[in-house]
Amino acid sequence: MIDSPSAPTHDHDVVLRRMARDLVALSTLPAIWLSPELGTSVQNLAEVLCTAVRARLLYVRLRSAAGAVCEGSAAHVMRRLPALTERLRQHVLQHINVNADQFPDSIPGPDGEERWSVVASPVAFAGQIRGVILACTPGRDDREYTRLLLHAGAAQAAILLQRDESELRRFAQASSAREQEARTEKIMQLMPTAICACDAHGCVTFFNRRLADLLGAAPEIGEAWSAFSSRFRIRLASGSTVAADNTPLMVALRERRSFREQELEITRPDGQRFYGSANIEPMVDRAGDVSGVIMVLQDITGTKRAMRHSEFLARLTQEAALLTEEAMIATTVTEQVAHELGVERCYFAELDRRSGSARVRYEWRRGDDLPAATGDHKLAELGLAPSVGEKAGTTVVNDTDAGTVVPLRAYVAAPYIQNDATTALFVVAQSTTRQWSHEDIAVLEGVVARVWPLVERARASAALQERTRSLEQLLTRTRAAEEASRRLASLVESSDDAIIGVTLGGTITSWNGGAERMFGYYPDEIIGQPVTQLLPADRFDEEPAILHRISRGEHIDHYETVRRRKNGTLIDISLSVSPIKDGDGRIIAASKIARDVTARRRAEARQHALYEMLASVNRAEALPQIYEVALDAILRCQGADRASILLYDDDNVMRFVAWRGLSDDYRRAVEGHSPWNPTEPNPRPVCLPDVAAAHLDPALRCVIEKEGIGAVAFIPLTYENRLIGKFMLYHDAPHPFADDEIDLVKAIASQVAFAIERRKGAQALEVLINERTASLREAIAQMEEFSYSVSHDLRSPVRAMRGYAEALLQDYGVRLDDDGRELLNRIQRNGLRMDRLIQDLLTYSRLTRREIKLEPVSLDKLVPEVLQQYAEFSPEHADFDLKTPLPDVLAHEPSLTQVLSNLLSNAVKFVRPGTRPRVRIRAETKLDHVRLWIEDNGIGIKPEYQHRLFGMFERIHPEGKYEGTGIGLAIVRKAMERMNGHAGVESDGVSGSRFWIQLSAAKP
Amino acid sequence: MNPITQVLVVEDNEDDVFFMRRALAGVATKAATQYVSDGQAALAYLRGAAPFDDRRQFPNPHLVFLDLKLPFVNGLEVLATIRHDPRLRNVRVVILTSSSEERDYRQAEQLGIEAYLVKPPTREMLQPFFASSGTTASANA
Repeated sequence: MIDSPSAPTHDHDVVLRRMARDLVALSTLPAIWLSPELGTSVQNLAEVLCTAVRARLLYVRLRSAAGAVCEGSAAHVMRRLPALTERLRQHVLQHINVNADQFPDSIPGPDGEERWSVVASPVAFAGQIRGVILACTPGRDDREYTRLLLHAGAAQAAILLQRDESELRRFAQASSAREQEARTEKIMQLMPTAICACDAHGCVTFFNRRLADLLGAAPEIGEAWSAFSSRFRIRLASGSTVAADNTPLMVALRERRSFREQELEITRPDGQRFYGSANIEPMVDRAGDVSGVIMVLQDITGTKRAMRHSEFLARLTQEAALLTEEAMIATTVTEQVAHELGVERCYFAELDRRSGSARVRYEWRRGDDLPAATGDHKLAELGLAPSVGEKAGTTVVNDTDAGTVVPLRAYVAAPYIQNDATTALFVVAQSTTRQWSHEDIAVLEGVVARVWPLVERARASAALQERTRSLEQLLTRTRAAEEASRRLASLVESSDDAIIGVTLGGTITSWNGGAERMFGYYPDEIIGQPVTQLLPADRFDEEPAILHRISRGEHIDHYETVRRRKNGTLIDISLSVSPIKDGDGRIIAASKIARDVTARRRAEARQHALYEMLASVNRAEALPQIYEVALDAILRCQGADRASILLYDDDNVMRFVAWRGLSDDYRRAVEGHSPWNPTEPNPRPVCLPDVAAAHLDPALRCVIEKEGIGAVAFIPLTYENRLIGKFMLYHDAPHPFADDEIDLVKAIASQVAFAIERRKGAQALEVLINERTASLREAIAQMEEFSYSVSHDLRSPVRAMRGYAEALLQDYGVRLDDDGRELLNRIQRNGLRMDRLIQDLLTYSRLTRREIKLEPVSLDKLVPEVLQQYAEFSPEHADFDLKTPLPDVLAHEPSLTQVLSNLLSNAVKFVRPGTRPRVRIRAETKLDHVRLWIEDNGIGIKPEYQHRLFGMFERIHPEGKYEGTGIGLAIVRKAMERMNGHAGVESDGVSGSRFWIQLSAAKP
Repeated sequence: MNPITQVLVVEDNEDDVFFMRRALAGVATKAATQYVSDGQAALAYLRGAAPFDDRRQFPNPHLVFLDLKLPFVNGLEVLATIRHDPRLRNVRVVILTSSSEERDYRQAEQLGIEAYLVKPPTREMLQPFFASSGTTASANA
């Protein structure tokens, strides 16, 4: 729906619809009575009222006759969430003392919302306040409306209490019950909704006045509803007509089913038709049988019509907004409105206030036989007051016979007002009388307010477009003219093109500067001469053919041909020829424009060669390939007869590396000559255009001339400002080396120098890498072989010695005395120590060459694992205090295991005799590092020895006292280095040592 | 598992043969042990080829103790040959070596072994292989 303040239907519409909804909701109240339970009824009441007043929370509290308190609450939320309702209820009860007489007007909203307005209604029964109904809503201003509905709710609540009381006291006096019934009936009579009740047989037991008003007929009490309803025609929303014994009320009774907001179209006996919305509820007695039915019927005719108009308006506006063309918008609108309202004609009238006339446009008529109103008319001729332009009101005429330009009996003219004046009118009209409804008027006012701006916008936009288009055309024309004259001027004056006038007979009549430069003739030399003078002998017949075509009025464009210069050389040209006409349009001569394309062609060829060379150089895999490609490029681009490349060798002598067309003798003779010092910072090309005229060493000149070289150029090859060699160009005849020729060769030279150096560097690097890799591989292989041999061969005899000593002790021990046995024991111990040394050395060497890959390792997992692996760490031998959790670190797990077991066995080993080892393991995380501490209660290490601690074979305790190879901590240090970590110790040399290792923390 | 009564030891080092004999004497009293000193001989023995073609004198072993460092054909090659020979595939092999190198262990494990023992051999080490047949032996030890 469109909510616009300019639409007069709006307020009316909203109130109407809201009333309808509220009352329909309230009309379900009788259902509440049918619930035998007071608690249930109170809850029902709360829910119905909540919907009716659209409270955020509605709370009902009643004290029953027995003194019990019954509560009901309902919250108006998007979905009915019991938890949310309960939370709101708690919030309300927290701020309102429901047992008080006075209630606040507002309370703080939950969750810091705006304050909630509170409307309360006491429930009085039998002269006592027996309860309260509270409606709580975020800041609303229609408290009165809410209060009204709550009062109705309070009356319902009173009835609930009354029923409760009568239930409680079965022998209550009939009169009081009847009194209540009468009250109920009174309320129902007062209800603005039509109500009707029937008994189980479908006979009317009650109806209110509104029902009779609405239906235009009243049933008899006791009359069968089906008989009564046969006087009406009833249709469902689907359009199907309903038989009298099949009306929703009868169906409700028969099938014990409720209807909610059942839309019906009812035609009354007097022929009037209205739309109703029915709520129907079967009543159930205490035994659970159907005892009757209640129907509440709401007239929704006005709502429906308003809704329909609003929807029409919305749809129409939407449709019009999609159109861009003024006439399209306006005619669409007039046609649709005419259909909607069923009028004869519909049009827009634009007011011209100065002349007091109006222009009727976009008129729609029901048929072509009706006279058209389209055109300019005086206001009066259209039935409009002269003041219509000032006043902001709508003209409504239901019946007139004022003489208008076309027959208008009834019409409405809705104004479009801009700047306090009416600029246009939207008119519907017909030649018969009509009572315009306020909905009709509202639709028209709505249409003009919404649509006319669209029409004006379309009109403005079209005008703008038109203006832009004409401006653009103007601009284009101006530009074209400017361009043409400029081109002409430049063609003749400063163009390099030769512009030549020729008579049809072939005589040259004009000769510009371009022609002079191109062909070498001065104007006075050539004007008056036949044009054939410019033609090479083999093309003499070209010119008559050209002039013949010109004389026929044809043009010749970009004809590529060859002409001859004054000095006899040939020139590639592109020729364009146009006819020249005299004042009478006769062709009298030809204008020829010749363009020298020699340079263009050569440049194209050079570019092509250069790109090809670049691609080839980059693809070349070996130096000789690069040289060949470069020579090809030079010869093609520069047109030299011969060429060569020389590079400095290791002895700093320039040697030929590639050449074309040079004899061995020549190369031997000139190799080593160079126009530049090898250390020259910025060597420049040297050209000898004519060897015969150059200042040269006579011996060298002799060699060059002998080789048949007339001109020679030296182009330096430099790389990073360092001279690495040169390009040589040779021409057999003297040759003026033009700048652009040399530039091109320089470009090639720089590319080639770069490619050569890159290739050389790559080759050298490759060789170096291969050599180093090979020797490294060999070293590693040797190392591995050595370690492998050590582990097998070195240990093997040691082991055998130990074995034999043991065998000796076992087999012959009894024959030896104690000293003998002690000697054998010493042999064994030393064997064991030797074996350990070898093993530790192996471990150390393995650590240095092993591939270390760092991965996240969980210390929480690894430390307990290490502690479980060795008997010396068992609880029988030592106490471990593990401060978990420990973090994850980046490490190589096998190496870290080695480190931990070495440190832990040190920690339990170096204790004073008789002391039980106690070791604490904890971790610190600093920035991205983890430091793991292993703290013991051992003998400690004096600070002066600590720096030696991690060295190879370092022992700082006497050998006999504590077992060890002196390699354990060297292994720790090496392993930590390999894992990008560190190891260290803190000790005062008295009270234990605190070893630490530090690693990168594993990122989570 | 059937009791082990036939054992083949493949070992070239006389000292190690000596220690093996001592250790086995304690636990495998009921088992007859044959000794060969290189890989080729070991394969010949297992295949029943000359000079081991008399099965009465050189019966099929139930268990083979195999050194890794052997002349001619090393222990891992012998093991690989056994595992790729359909007739020998199921022979139970225990590696007995002086090498505690991880790569040796991993390779042997991949080829399939009963156990990987690091020298020197002791009775305790060998005990589990003869548990069912060597109860009297361990009682005697």
